[in-house]
Amino acid sequence: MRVSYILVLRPLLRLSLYSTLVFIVPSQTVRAQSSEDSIPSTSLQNFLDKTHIGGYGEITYKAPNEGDVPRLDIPRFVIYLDHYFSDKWAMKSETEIEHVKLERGEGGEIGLEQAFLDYHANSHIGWRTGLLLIPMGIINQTHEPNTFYSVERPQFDEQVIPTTWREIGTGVYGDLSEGLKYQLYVTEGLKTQEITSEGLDGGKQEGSAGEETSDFMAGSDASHPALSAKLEVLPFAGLRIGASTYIEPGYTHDISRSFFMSVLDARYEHGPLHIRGEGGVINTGDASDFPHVPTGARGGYVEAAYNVMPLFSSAESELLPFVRVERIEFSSRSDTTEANFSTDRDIDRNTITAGLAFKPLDNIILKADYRVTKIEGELDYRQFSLGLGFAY
Amino acid sequence: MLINRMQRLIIVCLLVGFPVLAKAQSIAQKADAAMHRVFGEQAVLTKETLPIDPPMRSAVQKRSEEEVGDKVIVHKALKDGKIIGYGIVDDVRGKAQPITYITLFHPDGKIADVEVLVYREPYGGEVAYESFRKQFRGKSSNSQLRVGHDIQNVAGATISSKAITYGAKKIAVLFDELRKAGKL
Repeated sequence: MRVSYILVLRPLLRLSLYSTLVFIVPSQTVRAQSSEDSIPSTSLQNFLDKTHIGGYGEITYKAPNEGDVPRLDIPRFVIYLDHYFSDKWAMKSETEIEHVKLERGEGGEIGLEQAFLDYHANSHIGWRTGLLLIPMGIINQTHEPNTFYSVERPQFDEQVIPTTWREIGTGVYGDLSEGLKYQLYVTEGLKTQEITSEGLDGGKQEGSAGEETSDFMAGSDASHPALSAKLEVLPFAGLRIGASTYIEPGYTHDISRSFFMSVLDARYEHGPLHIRGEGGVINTGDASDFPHVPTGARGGYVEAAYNVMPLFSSAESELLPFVRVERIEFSSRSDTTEANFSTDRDIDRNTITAGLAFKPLDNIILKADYRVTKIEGELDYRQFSLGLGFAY
Repeated sequence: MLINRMQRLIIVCLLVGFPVLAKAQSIAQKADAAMHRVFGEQAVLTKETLPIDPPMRSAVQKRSEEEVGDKVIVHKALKDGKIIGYGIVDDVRGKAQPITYITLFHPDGKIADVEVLVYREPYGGEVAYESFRKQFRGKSSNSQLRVGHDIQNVAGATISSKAITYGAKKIAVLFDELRKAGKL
């Protein structure tokens, strides 16, 4: 392995460094400009022209039928801060406060949701490095509350795809040709032994050592990187189909026992009709040797919404009744010998969500929905939710 | 073994990626390229800065529900001394970033094309695709130019699609007002 490193990797690294220098240096002399008629400006004005602030937030009321009191929350309040060093180089970031506040280290969460340096060479290739959103499904990379109609994100995008799933890494993106987009990243991997039948959320590293962070040890564990990729096809304006894959080698370094995840998604919009769906499978690989880790999961949903506003008025606002049907299964090993596991312990969750979303403006949304989740052998979970969302 | 392959993959990505990088073009150069693409490589290009007086500003705002500034740069394409096309560069706000685009017109006021010159959001950018842009051709200030009506948004890029559509409506109305005022 050492020999192959010296023979193959070092010349390649050197060559990539040279090619980087050759192509990057000339572009740095080009000034960014927001439009051709921008007036020559002071350095402060120039800085402000190149720096963009935005954000989004949501305010929710959730009333479950049992197990908890009704709750009011601001689940997310996010600030974007982007800076353009030139028309190619940019820093893009999202900083978020989850669940209102963090007090003496307890309660919500304050963290970076994205923070990366982006070199957008042209429409065919860009390169980004930093805290990146894993390109998986619909919601993970497009999660502003005005882009989906339910108060909470689909269950599939919480339990199967652990949105907002971000990890530190590097990769490339662009259009292979018009209507065919790719993203390819190498990032730190999931702590697959932390996955449970409740979902993948506990396995995320998010660029941090979490509770173990100290002055002496900080940052994620980069010893088990993962590869993630997404291909998207847009055959015409109203249709977008995506295929995403995530592969992470397991503890045994046996490729056939790697953690593997694959998701297909589609969005179809035609005038007032909006249809979308996601579906995917997970194989936890050799992490399932841990008794609490499910062997895998599969699931998906289909959602339809229809803008009925044109039936009543010519206003720009939108009124969208919607319904979503979801099914998620987590499977445990059937050959387990642990006494507290039955031999075949699939956990199936079937959820129906129906509701109404009103968008008085494109960037403001008011939501109301009712969700019923059926889990075999358990009482139905029912929840009524109200939400307000904004993005700017 | 797999980790090593991934390291190699990163390097291959970088190697394949960087040579593809084209030289940066300024927005003015991109605007000229769009004018030549639509009105022919032989077309002679000129530019003129026109003032937009307050009555015209309010007329544009009334008809398009969008604000315009107090001046506009109009790109012109000439062939044998005769104007064969126009272009106006503008910025609209996408999700959080401005999108710089050009609306190109035939002398009769019909839209010849809409082209995205700079897209800055981390995701999206599909409003630059032919399948979206072709919907604008032949439309004018009197067209509805509304997403969900005569313009189909790009699935998953609704905000950018709406931004470009609002922008094209505003610029088409401005172009029409300039024509009616005898300034073009």
